[in-house]
Amino acid sequence: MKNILIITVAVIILLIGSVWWSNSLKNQNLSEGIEGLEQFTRTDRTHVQGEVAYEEMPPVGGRHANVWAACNGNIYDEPVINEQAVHSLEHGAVWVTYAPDLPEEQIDALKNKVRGYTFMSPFPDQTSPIMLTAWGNQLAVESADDSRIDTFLRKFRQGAQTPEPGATCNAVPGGMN
Amino acid sequence: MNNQNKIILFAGGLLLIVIAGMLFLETSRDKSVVPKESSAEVGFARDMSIHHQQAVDMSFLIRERTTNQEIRNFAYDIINTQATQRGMMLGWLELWNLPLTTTETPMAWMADEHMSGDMEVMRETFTPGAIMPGMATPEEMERLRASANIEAEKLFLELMIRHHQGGVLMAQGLVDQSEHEDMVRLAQTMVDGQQGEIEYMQGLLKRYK
Repeated sequence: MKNILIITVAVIILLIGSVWWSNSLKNQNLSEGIEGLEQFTRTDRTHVQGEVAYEEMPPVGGRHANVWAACNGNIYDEPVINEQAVHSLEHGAVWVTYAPDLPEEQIDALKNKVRGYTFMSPFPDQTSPIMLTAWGNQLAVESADDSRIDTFLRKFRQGAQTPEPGATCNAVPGGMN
Repeated sequence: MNNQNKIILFAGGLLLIVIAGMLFLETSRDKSVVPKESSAEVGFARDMSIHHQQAVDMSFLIRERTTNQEIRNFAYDIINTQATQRGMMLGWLELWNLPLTTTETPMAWMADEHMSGDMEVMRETFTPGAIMPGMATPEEMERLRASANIEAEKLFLELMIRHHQGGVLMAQGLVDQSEHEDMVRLAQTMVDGQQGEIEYMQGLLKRYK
């Protein structure tokens, strides 16, 4: 009886180990954990006119404007309209925001990271110096050289969280309104 | 049988079960497995790429037929999204080394019980002369081409609402029948996204009444 017990335990350990191992092989890059990542479930994607009361600052998803903020590597010097930015998140963009008092060299370092499916703007109401937001996902960091920034960009630009895969980040031709 | 043999037999049996289980897990999540010609995945990829193409065509048309910026923006969004999603679906077929088109009847991939369960939606969205649920007939496309401004906007919204209703029905059919992780995820975004756009368009349409 004792032998059976030992064998059973050994097999169970083997089983758990192999499942863990095969999981670790799967999409290694995309399953990278990000320390401090906050996740939210946002399913309401209704188009609305006017302002929306968002819970998070910057907002992480929910109802939004009919038009999106251009998010194809666009760098804004003024805050963007929240309702338009949320529409950009729906299209799979990562929104890089910073507190307006962030030092110039930090802002420049962030600008270098802003490419396709990324946009950047100051956000006066945020509590952290730098924040990264994708639909339903948010990360606060202190400094532009934090390695989690690149991990976040790799994982979420047109990532699996995107509610509208394939949507564009280009500005609508002929004006947004 | 003595005790030692029993233990060996027991251990061997357990190991076999574990190995079988692991093999099953590995193959079921292996993305390189090619779905069968008659599968829902292959049928959906082919039919939905045709379905999407008409939405793209209708959206290009309305951008030429009206100056209403909100409608034009919305059409621009549809063009980009559905054209790219078409590419994703055709890309799967290319990867699987399968023909992009078929001589099968459209919608043949959708299980009967699913079709009859949604018979009402089918009846409402399937127009005689159209090839799939929600799709516009050649005559309807011609009417859109021949109209302008408010008349064209209303017709576009009516046709696109029905087009999306049919699209939701088809995408839900794939979600219900498939275990292909990536395709199910894409189809689920179609169900949620197009459902939201239907409500948005219904709201726009009310402004004309």
